[in-house]
Amino acid sequence: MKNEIKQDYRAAVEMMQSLQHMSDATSMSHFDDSIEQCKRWQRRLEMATQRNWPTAARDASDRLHGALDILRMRATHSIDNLKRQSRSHIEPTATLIFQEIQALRGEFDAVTIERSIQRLTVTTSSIVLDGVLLGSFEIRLNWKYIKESSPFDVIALEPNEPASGEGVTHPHVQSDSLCEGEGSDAIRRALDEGRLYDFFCIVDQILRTYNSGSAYVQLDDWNGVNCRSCGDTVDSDQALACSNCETELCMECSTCCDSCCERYCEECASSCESCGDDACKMCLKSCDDCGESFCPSCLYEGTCDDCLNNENAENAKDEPEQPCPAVQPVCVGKASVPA
Amino acid sequence: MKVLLISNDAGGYAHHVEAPDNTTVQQMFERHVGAFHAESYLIRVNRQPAAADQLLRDGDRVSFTPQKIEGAA
Repeated sequence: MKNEIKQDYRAAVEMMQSLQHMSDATSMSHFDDSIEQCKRWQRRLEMATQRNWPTAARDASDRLHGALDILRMRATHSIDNLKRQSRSHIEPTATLIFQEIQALRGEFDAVTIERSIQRLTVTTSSIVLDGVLLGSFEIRLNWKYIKESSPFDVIALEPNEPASGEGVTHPHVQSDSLCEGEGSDAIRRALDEGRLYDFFCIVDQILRTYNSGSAYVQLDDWNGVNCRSCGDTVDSDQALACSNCETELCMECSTCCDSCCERYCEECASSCESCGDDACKMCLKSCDDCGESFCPSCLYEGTCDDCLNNENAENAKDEPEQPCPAVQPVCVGKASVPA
Repeated sequence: MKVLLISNDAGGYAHHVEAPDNTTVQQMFERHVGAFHAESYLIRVNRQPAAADQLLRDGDRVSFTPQKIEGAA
């Protein structure tokens, strides 16, 4: 217990140092670097243009464009920092942060401090949204980056990922990153002021709220299956698996083999060259003669109808001609009888 | 008395406010936040759960965190 208090206080001091490391001076020096970069590429562009070097001019122009973009981003960042500083705010202290950590231990199931990696983690209780069990989450605050945007990760401990969203563990969490939505400003403000208790409570409440208007995957589709062909989501009990490769499909994207009556994906099904019926690649056989694929009913002893007909025609041609039986000429040997 | 009032609604703010003695949590909320719906907020006094009729004391830290905060994608 005594060690835990000691550790909490040391962590609070370190967090305080991270918060004080506002790095305005650093960000202004980055700002100066950006201006220098712009000037440099501007000089190169002018030189290349004067000397009529079009390729070099194009390259310098592209690089100047990039440098100006970086300058703009840094300027925007600096303006945001100024705005944040000018707002009335609470000055964090190590004692206040220590009290915040102590309060977290009473509010959440588990609170872990890893000073070696400068991380404070709380574990939420299990979360169920609209009947979908999402389990509990770890909210990991990386205090080294506390002044930066989104210095925290949200990790699902018993991930229940929907089939249609890779890396989605919550309607508002993808790749362990929470899209803060309307909580964004309150989170930023709580972190700036060292109000860690509020920060974790806000994130916890976002995780317990479902915004159907803006979700990585709708909860209605959570237990559905993503058709690998058209991408639509279908209820898991309506999805069909290809009988050969087990690819999951919706009804519209699966093909029924007219020979074996099983359902297949586009890759595993084709059609008979003769009758045109749908057939799976297992039921389709090659004609021994022409090599084309046919369904079982269009092959006779391994040969298709066309090849059989051709064969018969060839055989008929090859047979020797039979001599015609002698026919007695009309009226031969008969004498006319006078009337 | 002086109380630290924290609202984690929308933009979020935290500042010290003057309040008459015997002010309750609910009165504080109605004065500074809006119509009181206890079930819509996590109410904490000095980071501990608090009832609407709890009396505030000088130096208290009162926070209101909405139960519904919509994330996005």
